[in-house]
Amino acid sequence: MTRPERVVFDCNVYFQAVISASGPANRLLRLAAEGRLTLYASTYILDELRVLTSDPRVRMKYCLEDATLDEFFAMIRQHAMLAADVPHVFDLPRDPDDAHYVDLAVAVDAKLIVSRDKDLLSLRDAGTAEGRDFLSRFPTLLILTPPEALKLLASDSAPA
Amino acid sequence: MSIQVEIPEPLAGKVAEAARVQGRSPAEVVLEAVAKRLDPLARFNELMAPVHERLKELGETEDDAVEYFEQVKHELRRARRAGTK
Repeated sequence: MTRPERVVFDCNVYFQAVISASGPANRLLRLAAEGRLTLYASTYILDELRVLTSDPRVRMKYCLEDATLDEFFAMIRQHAMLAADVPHVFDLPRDPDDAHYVDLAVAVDAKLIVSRDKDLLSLRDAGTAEGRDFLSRFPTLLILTPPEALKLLASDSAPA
Repeated sequence: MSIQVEIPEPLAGKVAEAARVQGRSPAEVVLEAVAKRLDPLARFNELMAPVHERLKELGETEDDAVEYFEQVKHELRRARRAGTK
């Protein structure tokens, strides 16, 4: 399988990278920072991430301060390419907001979405109508969890 | 650990100039540049240390925290959709 150089991270992957320096999401972000992956984001994703990390429940529970969040967003902007135009091409009735991740991946020709979202991950299931629709329309677009993505990238970069 | 490296010109001049402008020692400038190159998330993870400590205090795993984040995300999305109907 060809190494998926262009990737899209779900906002939950960014959050996971914040809360642990040693976990799989942080390692993926490191690959992007090292230029070994081309990470794509959008205003929509960054806005949702900003809203969520500013939510009092999340902020208080995980001690997220304004200064650290500002650094976090600056770091994302430094290492991610911001897609200007993301046409709507996919519908996901069980969570319409998740469709944006597929829209973005298609817009930037990314071959990998990394996510912890159950609705997005369910699109891998050919046993559902939504899964069949997704898999038939976007057969080369992978949706993987962070550990799965790392495993794929590691196997792909290993010498033959 | 100590490593001695000969820094050739014109790089040495750039290190000296950066040190002068930043009011730091040349060794500090070199150390920061090496750290940035070898570990681009070092500063970010350092800044997030209080968050990592908090996770430990809570006794939560990464999975627990992401699950909570997802729960809040879906609540906010539902509220937004209800508000825009």
